[in-house]
Amino acid sequence: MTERERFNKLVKKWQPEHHSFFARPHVSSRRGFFRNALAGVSGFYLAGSAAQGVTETRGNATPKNTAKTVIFIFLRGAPSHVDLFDFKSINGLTPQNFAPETFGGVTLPTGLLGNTARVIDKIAIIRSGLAWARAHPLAQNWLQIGRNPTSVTGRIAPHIGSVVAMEKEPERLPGQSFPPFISLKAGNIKGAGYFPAELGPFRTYPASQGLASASHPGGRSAFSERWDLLQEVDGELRGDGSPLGAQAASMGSLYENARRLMFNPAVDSAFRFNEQESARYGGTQFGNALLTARKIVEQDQGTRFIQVESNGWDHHADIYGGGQNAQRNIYVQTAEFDPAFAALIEDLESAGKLDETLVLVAGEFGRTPGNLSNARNGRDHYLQMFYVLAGGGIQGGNVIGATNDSGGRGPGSFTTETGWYRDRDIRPEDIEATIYSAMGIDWTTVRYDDPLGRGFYYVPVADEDVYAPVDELWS
Amino acid sequence: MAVRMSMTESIGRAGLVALALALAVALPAADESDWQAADGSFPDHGSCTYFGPTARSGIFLTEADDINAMRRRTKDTISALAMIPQPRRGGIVAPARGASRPGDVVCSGIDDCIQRTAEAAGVPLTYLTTDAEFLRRVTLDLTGRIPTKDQVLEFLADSSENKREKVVSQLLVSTAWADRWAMFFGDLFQNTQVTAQVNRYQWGRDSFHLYLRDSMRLNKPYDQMAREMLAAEGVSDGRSYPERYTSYADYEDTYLNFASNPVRASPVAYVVGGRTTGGPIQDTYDTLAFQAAKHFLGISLMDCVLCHDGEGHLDSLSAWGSAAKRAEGWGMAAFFSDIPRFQAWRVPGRDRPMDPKRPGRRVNTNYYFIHDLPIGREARANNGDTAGVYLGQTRGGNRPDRLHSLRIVEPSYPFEGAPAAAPAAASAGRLRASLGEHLTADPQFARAAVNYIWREFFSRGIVEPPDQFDLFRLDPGAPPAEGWDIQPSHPHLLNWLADEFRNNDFNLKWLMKEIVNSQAYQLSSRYEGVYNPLYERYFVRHQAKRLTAEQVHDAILVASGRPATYNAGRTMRGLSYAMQFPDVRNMPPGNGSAGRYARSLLQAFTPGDREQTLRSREGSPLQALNLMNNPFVLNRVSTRLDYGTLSESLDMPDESLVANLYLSVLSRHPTEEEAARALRYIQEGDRAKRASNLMWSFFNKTDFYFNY
Repeated sequence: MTERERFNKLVKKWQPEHHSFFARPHVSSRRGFFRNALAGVSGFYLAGSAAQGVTETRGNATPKNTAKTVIFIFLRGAPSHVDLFDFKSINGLTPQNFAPETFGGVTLPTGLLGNTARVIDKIAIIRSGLAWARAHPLAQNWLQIGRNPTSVTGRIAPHIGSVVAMEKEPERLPGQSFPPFISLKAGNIKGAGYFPAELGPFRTYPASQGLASASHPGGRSAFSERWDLLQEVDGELRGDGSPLGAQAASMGSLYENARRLMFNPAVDSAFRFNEQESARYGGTQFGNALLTARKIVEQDQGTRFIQVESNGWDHHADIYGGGQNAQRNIYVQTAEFDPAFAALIEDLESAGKLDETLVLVAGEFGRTPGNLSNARNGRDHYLQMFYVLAGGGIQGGNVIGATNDSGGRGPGSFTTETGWYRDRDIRPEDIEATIYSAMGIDWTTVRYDDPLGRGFYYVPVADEDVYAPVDELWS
Repeated sequence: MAVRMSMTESIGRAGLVALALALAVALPAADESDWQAADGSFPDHGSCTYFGPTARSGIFLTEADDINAMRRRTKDTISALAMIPQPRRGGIVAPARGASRPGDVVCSGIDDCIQRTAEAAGVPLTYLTTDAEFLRRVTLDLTGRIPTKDQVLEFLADSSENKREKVVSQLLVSTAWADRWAMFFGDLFQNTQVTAQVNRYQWGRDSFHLYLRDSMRLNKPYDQMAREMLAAEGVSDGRSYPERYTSYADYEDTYLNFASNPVRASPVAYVVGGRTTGGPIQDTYDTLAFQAAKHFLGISLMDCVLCHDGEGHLDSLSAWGSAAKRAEGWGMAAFFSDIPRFQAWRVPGRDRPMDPKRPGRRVNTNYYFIHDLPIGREARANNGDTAGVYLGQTRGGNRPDRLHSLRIVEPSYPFEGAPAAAPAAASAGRLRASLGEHLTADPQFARAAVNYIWREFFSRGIVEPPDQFDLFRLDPGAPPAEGWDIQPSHPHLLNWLADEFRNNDFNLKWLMKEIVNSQAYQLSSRYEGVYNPLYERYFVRHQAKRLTAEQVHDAILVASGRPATYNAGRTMRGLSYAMQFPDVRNMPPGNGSAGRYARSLLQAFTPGDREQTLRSREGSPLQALNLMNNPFVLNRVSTRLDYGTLSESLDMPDESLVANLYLSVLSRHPTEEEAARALRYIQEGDRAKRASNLMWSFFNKTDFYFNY
């Protein structure tokens, strides 16, 4: 049986969590244990021991462990793969000013991705990506939690970034003061699921004056006066032995952790930026977010997962401009994405951080290839999709998978070469496993602290080896 | 996305329906080994599941007079019991084992049960809370806000004996009470705009929110709410629309005209929330059944059971679950099978007028139209699905394949439903209404409801977590099998509350009044002597709980006297409090700085997403950062504005200034020591600045941050 047949047997269409998963015994809930293990812990410093005793691994995984941090650039709305990283020129349709050029075997529309072309040897492109669903919210959630949101565990699943945070918090060094999971310019990002709320995204928006809520008017001395007063008027209630109980007793340490983010040179260095820096990233809010992400990585303050979002890729109409949608076409979107992305890769590299920072660019699915839709000059939802990765120990310049025509729908409609040893399309769950592998996290881990006692699999059905990291990225 | 059913392709839809009808065999059938019980019978949980009205006589005195007598006696004797314990010295007092199984403590009424159970466990109760603490606690719990300074002063000055009952009655009739519980039920019923499966659209969400809020305002009986929600029909935003738009002007008049056609309260968006794509329509019916079981019966495990029998899967988790059969889940799901597949209702293309603003396009319509098939099970949907019956045969989708042959699942309530409400036949076309009858007659319906509500006041359910009821472990008179404990911490109390809730017509205000007027609720959050975390289940002290996102936001508004106004979309305009928001995500919307500051504060206090992430009361440094530095707070302690609590305090003599700040922000008088210290602080420097600092420190104080 080929790998593809095996996979198809295990995973029927629309059924990524298949029989054997449903048919697995639930285990006894240990949520009580987990709760107790975390009781009284506050701040970002979850006890390392909290994770002990509730997990086991179910496979023979050997994580690559080449990355320290992930920057996930989420192109919400689903970018057109055939106009970007799986570029297909169509005579008479593709605008002239896309100006495709080939760099080391990769054809890019330089009219859209001219800056990205500068870093083409640093990035790897996956073209054999295939989403499970073509509805935005479903596929967006799917990508962020790495499983079917409609499944039983999908209903309580944490964001991939929260899993990274859970796994990596025990490695936090003394003095590291940033939260483990930060989102920049992310609206409806998924949260911590059933994990402790602190492992959810620390949501913030990039701003030149720095991290919102981490500075105080009047500066340090004005704040200190207030801080000292607070300790005086509230002293007996907020420390150990608080008469109001255990949760109140943790107020003191919680505020200490917060204060560590204030008047903190590392915070200022990470979250403040000037006009010149911003201009290099395109001067957009998205560019500022990537700039901030880079600075957070450089500060090395315990942040392990950063999600940055770009909205507006849902080009059902006027994808090539004109018409009524002048503000939402592929030129506008790439003008935001392209300079910022190239600057991010270059700056990470020159800071010596690219090797330990896995950058992932993805939308929730792709768009219809071939001709534009008749009525609206746009492209509609389509499962075939691309992923772009860089850094974190992976090999730049790789192109994994290829697509071609299928059934007259146009070039880019079907995977012709999967480009990896599993010999099948690459699913969001495989990308999830890839992230965990790069981060040194055993993706076959099962936690027995979920509320349904089902066992929460970091990657679904890991014990049956259905999904796997794309190891070809490293070679 | 097309649903693929192999049979559909081979024999055609009409043929399928004919075949399905011809083969329509009510479960239980004779030969389906994948769900059938070993002896060939349909698994029957029967009365062993419950100790509802029929089985109760052996346990309780059921004559109404006797119950009332018992309640009177409870009230009489409670103050005689030592509420103020002698502090125990010499280490942790572990609850005694064996003799103190909570199930063995027979009791009736809140205080009787809490006291007897604690006594049997050898855990002393703490003393009663002070008046000021009580007022703040009960105002927060009932209305989501802190009391105003005037309310505090009036309450403290009141010397009547029943002043606590009096203030409770006042709070229960306030509109703030309706807002706070609309937020609670919005959480419980997961009313949010966009989920992975469905976009209710803003107006659908608002319409359901208005339904919940109005239900609270009318104090609608809870069973009536459940029946209305389960059987809801119509347009998901409660507006009225024509069958088809004859012209763009017609569309403008109806769809776009909010003045004459506003969003109205409707529970239809509750049903919309069950929509499940990427599979056969049975997946939607299953989701609806799961939601009903979780929301109304506290049984989340139904989600598991809808995929597989419990045996061999849930054995270590739930005694009920281990015996539950997948087919029972289908029986419940089949009550929804008169609903045709629904999508955002788009009038067929030819009926939608062209949009003059977008050349070549037709106008958009974003609403759902939920209706049962008109003649019930005789009719069939025409969208290529099998609505009208719950067809047992499926392939693929979000759940494992169901049956492998064409059979129709008859609606069958899997729990202890209404004996009189015969399913299906007696209510052709009204299957969902029939489910509502069964479900609200089920003793578990009342039990789940009182437990959810109890938890809001005590931070812990009598069954905890409240959506994980194990039906086989509730009855202390019929103990579960070897190896299982009785699940509720206070089984008789749970049953007493449930029975009385039903006897009082599922009146939520009655239930809350009963709870907050109890001495158990009025215990102090302070505890003398050694407190073991294991005592939590005995409710011997009040658990201090962090304010929720909306409570923090609104408390700052009330305390500072510097109000805010928000527009949360087209319908929910001019809102003064976060507790009035229709949703928890992205609230308040908009890019204005005031909105962003409020949003940052609210998000820091983890309101959840009403989808995957529950509201949490955990603390985090982000909360501290917001209370210390967010302009939402700073503007409210700023001396630059000339109105509100701070400005008004600055016009007062120093002593009154200090007292005013304590009363306004912390809802209490300062202690002598606190007053003296604050006075010293104010007088030893820039008065205005120091008053501002003092107020800032109060917003960051533990007794502001917690409801204690």
